Amino acid sequence: MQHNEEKTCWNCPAAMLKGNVDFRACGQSIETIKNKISEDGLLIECSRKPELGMFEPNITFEQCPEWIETEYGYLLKDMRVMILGIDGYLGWTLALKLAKLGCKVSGIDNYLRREAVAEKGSKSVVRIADMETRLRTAKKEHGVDIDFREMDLLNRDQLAEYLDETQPEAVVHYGEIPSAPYSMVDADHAIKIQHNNTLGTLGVLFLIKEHCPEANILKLGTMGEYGTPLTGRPIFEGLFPADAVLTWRGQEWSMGGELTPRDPASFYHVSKVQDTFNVYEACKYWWLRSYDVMQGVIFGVHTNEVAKHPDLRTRLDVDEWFGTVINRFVSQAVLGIPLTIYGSGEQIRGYLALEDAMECMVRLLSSPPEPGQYDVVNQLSQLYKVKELAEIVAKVGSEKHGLTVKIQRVENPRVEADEHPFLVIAKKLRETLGYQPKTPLEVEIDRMFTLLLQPETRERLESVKEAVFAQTWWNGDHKETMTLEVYEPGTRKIEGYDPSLVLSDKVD
Amino acid sequence: MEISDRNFNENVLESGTPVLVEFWASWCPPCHTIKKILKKIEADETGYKVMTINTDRNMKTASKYNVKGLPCFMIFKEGELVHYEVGAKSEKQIREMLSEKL
Repeated sequence: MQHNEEKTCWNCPAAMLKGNVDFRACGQSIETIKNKISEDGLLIECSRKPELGMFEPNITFEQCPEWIETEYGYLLKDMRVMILGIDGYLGWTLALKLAKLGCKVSGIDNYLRREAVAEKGSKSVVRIADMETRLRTAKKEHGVDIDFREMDLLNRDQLAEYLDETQPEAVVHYGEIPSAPYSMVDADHAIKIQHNNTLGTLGVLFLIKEHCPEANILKLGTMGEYGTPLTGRPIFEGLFPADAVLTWRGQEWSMGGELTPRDPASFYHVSKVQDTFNVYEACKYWWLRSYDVMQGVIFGVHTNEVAKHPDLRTRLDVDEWFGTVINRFVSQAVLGIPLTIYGSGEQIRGYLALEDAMECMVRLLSSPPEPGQYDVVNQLSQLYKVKELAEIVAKVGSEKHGLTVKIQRVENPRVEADEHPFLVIAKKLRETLGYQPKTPLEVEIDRMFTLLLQPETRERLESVKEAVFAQTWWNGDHKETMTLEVYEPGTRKIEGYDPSLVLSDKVD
Repeated sequence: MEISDRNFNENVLESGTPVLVEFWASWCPPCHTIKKILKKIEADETGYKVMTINTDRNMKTASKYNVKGLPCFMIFKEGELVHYEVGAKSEKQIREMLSEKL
């Protein structure tokens, strides 16, 4: 049984609702639409099968010939997907995966990420080809055509034309600057991030409303939106479940369906929280449909598609602004630098491998929400403490690659809880979308070592090693972090709170 | 059970047992989450039925009963509307509403 076989036309972006279905905002009087109610009930048209005329929207994905069975569930045949930020770490990887699955992929990018990393004096340590070469190689190696336009998503006129031309049935929004430290450098950087991310997303929502309102919007959020509440209260999937109740002065109120509290940890995370509210409202006002993807920290370099040719590789950043923790640890191990843990290293975060993240995205594309539905998934495979990750990287580096790896604790430049409980609910992808993590942490770390130890990659890594160290302080300082201690792997206990990940209703 | 304009009479007004109807819409997050509670209550089989109806897709019924906010709960007994209440409820509150009005 496929996870999405019982979904119907209501979940299908090819079902043309506009003009056929009236809708209204919550609480609004329906007096105005009384005269539009048809005696025949509600009928729609299919943009892919106009010859069917008007019909009742109750055909299931299993019954519909436009939805074809794949290993990820039923997928809309030749689905037109636009990726905003297609040149990035995730954007390019997903473009290849979707194109290989038969989707018609289009995408925009203004190379902001390449510029921002260069600004830091760094570069992707895995050599990445320019877009022209990437597209040509994708055609040669995978036989796929990906349509690309160099474009800033803030240029709404250009993007509007492109949306009209491509008529996407899904829009994956990766077009944001993904860095907490970058947003904490100074006012210019904080404003740049919030301008690009928040206003960019708001503009995109207006454009989708006007040009492709039926599209399934996959909006990249981050687990960092929630923060790490010291009460240890559960981190639900964006919205409170039905059995969450607020009690106060002896009375109770249902919290079911309300947005859960957010506690962002940088001005970057604030931009993501603002996005969440904008997407939530857009779904309500205009009947857009969206998954807000609260993604854990991604690590790794591998998917079958990017590994096929060096010119198809996706970027890998290790600098303090854009290098995520596992990617930085592996690069430090290769360089012979003790792995840098901020503060106690007891910080708990959610993680998933690049390959698994891509699978999650395909599954989300295969199961669009209903029109008007705003849904949230916590997208992660496992929780780890930073200290624990350093131990695992050190173990793989020494046992499989003969490296001598040490660990160092440095001052924490961030304003964050070093030690905190973390109870995370991540049920939807597993329970309703059929996802099971496939890439063990050690396996992906091993792949990273193998790639980074190649002479060309190692040379690139050497040339950017200064950029790996944190110098951006949340208090506004710009200075090196002092080393608190250097220690041998295996000599420190993992202390404090135990991470807790809830994957099914049984525990909830 | 999800019902529509077409079978509302048969399932609600002509029902031999009282019916709790929840009016919902796709753009209403509390409506989505509350489905789990309604399924649980429905499974209890305590002499009433639980039905859900989408307001946007069944505007005739939504308009007839003047739905102005969601989720909207209505209780029908022998074809008559005996209770109307708007807003998300906890399981305890739904059960209390049912025992009070039935």
